[in-house]
Amino acid sequence: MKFRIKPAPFQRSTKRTTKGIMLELSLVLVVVWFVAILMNYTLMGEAEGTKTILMGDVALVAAFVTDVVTALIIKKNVWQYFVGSYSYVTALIFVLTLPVTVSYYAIVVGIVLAIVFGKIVFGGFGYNPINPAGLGRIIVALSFSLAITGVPGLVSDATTSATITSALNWKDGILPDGFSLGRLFLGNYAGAIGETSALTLLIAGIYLSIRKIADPRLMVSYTVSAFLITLFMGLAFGVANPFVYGITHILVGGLAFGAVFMVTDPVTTPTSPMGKIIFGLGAAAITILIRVSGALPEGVVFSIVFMNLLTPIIDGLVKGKTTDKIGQRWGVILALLVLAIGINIGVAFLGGVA
Amino acid sequence: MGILFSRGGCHIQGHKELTHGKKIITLTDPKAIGKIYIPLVSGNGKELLLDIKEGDYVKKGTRIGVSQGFYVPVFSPVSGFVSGTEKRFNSLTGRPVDHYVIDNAFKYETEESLKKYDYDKVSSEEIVEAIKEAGIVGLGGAGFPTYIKYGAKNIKTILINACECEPYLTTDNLMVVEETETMLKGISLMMRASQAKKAIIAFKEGHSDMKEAILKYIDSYPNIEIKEVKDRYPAGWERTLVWNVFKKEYENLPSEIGVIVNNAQTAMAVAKAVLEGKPITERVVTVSGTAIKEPQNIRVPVGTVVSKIIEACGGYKGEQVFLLAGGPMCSKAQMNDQFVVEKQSGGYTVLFFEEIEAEPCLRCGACTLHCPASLQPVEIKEAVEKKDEKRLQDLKVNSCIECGLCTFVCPSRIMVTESIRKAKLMLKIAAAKAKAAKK
Ligand code: SF4
Ligand code: SF4
Repeated sequence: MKFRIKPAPFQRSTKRTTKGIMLELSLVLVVVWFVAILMNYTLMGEAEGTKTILMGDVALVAAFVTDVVTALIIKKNVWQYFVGSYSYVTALIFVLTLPVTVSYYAIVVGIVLAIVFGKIVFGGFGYNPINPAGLGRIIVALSFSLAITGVPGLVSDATTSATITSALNWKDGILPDGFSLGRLFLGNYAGAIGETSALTLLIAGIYLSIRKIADPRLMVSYTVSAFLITLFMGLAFGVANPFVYGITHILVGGLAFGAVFMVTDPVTTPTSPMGKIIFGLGAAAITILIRVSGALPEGVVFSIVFMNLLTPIIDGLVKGKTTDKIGQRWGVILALLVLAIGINIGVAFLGGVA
Repeated sequence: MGILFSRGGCHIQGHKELTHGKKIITLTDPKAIGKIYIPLVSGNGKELLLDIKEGDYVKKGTRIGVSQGFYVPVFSPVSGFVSGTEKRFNSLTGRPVDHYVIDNAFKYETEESLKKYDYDKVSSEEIVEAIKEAGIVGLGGAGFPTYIKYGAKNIKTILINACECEPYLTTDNLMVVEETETMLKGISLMMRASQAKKAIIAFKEGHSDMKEAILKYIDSYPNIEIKEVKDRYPAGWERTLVWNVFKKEYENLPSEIGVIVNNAQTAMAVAKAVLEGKPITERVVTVSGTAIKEPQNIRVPVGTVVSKIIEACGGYKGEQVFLLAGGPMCSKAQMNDQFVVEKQSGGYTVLFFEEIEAEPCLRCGACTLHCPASLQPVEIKEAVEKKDEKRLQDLKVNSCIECGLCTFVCPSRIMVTESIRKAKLMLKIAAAKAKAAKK
């Protein structure tokens, strides 16, 4: 008889593995992708529909090849490396943030750079400080701006030749002709393929929360903060309906997509409940700042990647037990929210946006 | 669970069906029991002050010695000659220590060295004295001397812990059913000793056998109530239990809020000590797990070698096992089966050896959301990796009770609990260094 030694505990939960979580997450992403394919087929036409399918395929294949090459270079078992690197999740998230007008070249460059500089240089999955898909998206935004702002003519709906985010005038918040909150909610307009249908994303978000794959604290903190900040901005700007103004903000520009799939990336966000809420709030404040005062549609991705960099600091601020000083912690959150609203309004006025 | 905080816990598979409901087996065959070994060191690692020497004849109940530090007398569980001293592995201290060898004469001659008291007349002081002299300790596994708890003032409630939250173990449950009246008497004595007005017996919901057994007698004990708590590990941890029953927190000891918590079997031991003058000389232990042939509950003299008990359960399955002195969540794996049954041992779990490969930390925070001490295990783990002592201090590492839940829930199968143990060690070393530097 051989007596073996190992530290306790000896019983493990049989429910969840990281592999299982990532696989289920990617299934949800695939569903969102399918919805995008369907919408592009029915609303825009066969060319766009097929392009949506191919976009995902190209991203996945490029991610796979990157993994295989990496595994060969660092001399790891190719299959094991691929299974444990979760680049397929990165690829799916990345591609869903792109509009149908993007070139395949941009997709390939984006995903390869995302995986190499977003993940591999830091030591692979689990060690990356910033969201690799977000990094890829930023690279594409900066180097292929033409590729994503839209090639006129490819889209059948004339009002959507540019993304709705850049078409919207954030000063008065009046929606362009043909747009209603309902349409924004359903997502039947051109934009990044996975980002337009808030309804789909709402369902996905609820599903991921129930299945404990993504933390609702992050999603809710991000969207609710964005809503509150813009609600007060709307009031300050004197828009016709501040409530509608706030809702519009969270329905467009990939905010819902970011809330469900990017803000919730556990590796690059804080681990404590308090930290998650601060993260969401911070990301919301920066998103709105970039969008309104910076007049850039990519606020969501930029803000999330920026907050990723702050994650170690936020983690470090949350000390002791989670049950410690609950009242004081809520006070801090409230103060930060007020600060976020104040800065956004202040900068908008100073910058002459409002 | 709140938005910002969590009191942790989660349901874990109990595996109790392996032994629950089976009849308790009493080991009587001299060959099956073999010699009895009494460690000459108490749980705190200090040597006993001995009353007897090698070659003496002891009876069941003869006092062998007393521990240093807290006063806890040790008694011989059987009758026979003390034939020598032998080094063996000790499961409490985790190292080899001297043991007295008692050649069990199997006559069970009994020495009645302790006073017996009358149930109706015994006074508060006499009860505490009897508990102290009988060497009663917490039988839930902690082994803390029981009389110390009864020094506290302003006690309102005695909380009896029959939750037995470690998987596989069923002795508390079976003993509550078997010796219900003894337990209730013991609880009454404990109430008298502490002047508490009320006692609550807490057990996990779904244990209808315990409930029925207690309800049968409870009418004669108007101040004793039962309370079923949710089956969420670690339901039997003192803080979790007190929170679930009273919705109150305390700094260091439950006596701060007028509560004394004792294990159900401790109550039985109190009754036997006070009313019959009997120290703890035998104990029912659960032997269970995936890698034992016949899991069962078995009554043996304290000091029986564990290998004998394993034999009585048909032996091991497979070639490589983990042998745990207790349940699978908190107990250490032992290096051999030559250690002995202690009075606070609830059982032994034998599991197949398996290696689990870890993945990188997902930083999902599941460990934080499940920690019953509301700590942030993942943050502690990262601080250990960075050797950041300042951060470890901030994270209140020493509040960890090593319940094992953070490792249990981790989707990446990381041994998080082990990191917390490392963190504690790091802080200890740092504190020792700081002390040395001051001198
Ligand atoms: S549960 Fe495991 S993977 Fe999740 S944060 Fe804790 S240590 Fe990391
Ligand atoms: S072992 Fe310690 S840190 Fe881990 S869950 Fe239990 S109390 Fe919390």
